[in-house]
Amino acid sequence: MHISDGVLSPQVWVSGYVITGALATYILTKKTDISEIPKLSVITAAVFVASLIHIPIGPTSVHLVLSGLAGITLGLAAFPAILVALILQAFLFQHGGITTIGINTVNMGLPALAAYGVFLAVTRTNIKGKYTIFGGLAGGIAIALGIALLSLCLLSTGEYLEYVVPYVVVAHLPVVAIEAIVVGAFAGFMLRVRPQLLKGYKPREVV
Amino acid sequence: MKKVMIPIAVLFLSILFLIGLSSTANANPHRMLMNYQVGRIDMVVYFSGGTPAQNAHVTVYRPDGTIYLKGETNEEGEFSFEPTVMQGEWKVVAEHSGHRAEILIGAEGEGGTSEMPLYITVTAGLGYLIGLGGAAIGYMGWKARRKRESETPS
Repeated sequence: MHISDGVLSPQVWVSGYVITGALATYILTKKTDISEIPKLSVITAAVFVASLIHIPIGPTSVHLVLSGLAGITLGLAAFPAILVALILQAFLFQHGGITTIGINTVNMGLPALAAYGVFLAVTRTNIKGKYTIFGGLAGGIAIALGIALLSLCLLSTGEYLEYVVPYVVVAHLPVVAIEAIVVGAFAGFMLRVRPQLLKGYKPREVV
Repeated sequence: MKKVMIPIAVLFLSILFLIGLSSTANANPHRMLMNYQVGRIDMVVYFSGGTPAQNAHVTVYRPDGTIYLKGETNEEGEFSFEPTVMQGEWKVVAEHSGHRAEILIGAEGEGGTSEMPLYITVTAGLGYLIGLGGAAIGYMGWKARRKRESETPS
């Protein structure tokens, strides 16, 4: 899910930086409280090491992203959290590129925000196990959207659809399922041990 | 005197002639030289963790930077090509689903890109994040104390 240096055209990665810079600055200055930072750094740590969990699938190697998990725990702050995780991955693991930090943050951060939006549906529904269900949905949707954005970026380089579909889309489908299970289980578990960590949790609610 | 000069001049001229002859035909002493040619370069493309990169797009550049050939890796992530001359560095670029690896192949027999030990980089990354969280907690504590001090009259 990480795009390396030298793959994309300058127009694409420069606009990635512009979008990421604007969105991260807005969220960090207007929508984040300093008391959120310790939680943000813990979730960032999870996202940072998630990429080390490799799942060898057919022709490629895929790994966990945990963008959905960042979304349901941090809300809007998931975007800067993913930015920080990607900066660390790029410099420490040479995972992804330096020029592509911006566009990679867009590809994984926007789906994290979408996951947050999906997860907020828990406040409007009242079914049994809704945190697990919507957590799973959020986790799966985050990856599915990430695949879509990554595919668009690769298609913009003149890559053929016949290549992108099997090696990017199909290869990442198991990650959609795995992250849906992981994030769903995480949401269900957190509800019992530390529900304040979940966005959209209301303390006096009966579940 | 004249009788002596003529043979000396003849000898001198013939030595010059011999030197001249040898320099045109075979100037070098008995020195042996070698050139070598590497017949084929075998390479393997893989992801960190060791999974071979199947059907990765490979582009081989000549030492002057022009494209020599394009191809794909096989099921095992292997790719081979035969360089024409082995002078200078050949550049090989592999791309797979947004990943990209680049290597320069010089005259040394084998090589590859290396990775830092994982535990070092993981520890470094977690260290930065703990530091970030700690700095925020420290800042909150400092603010809370200042607020308390300003509220309690001294």
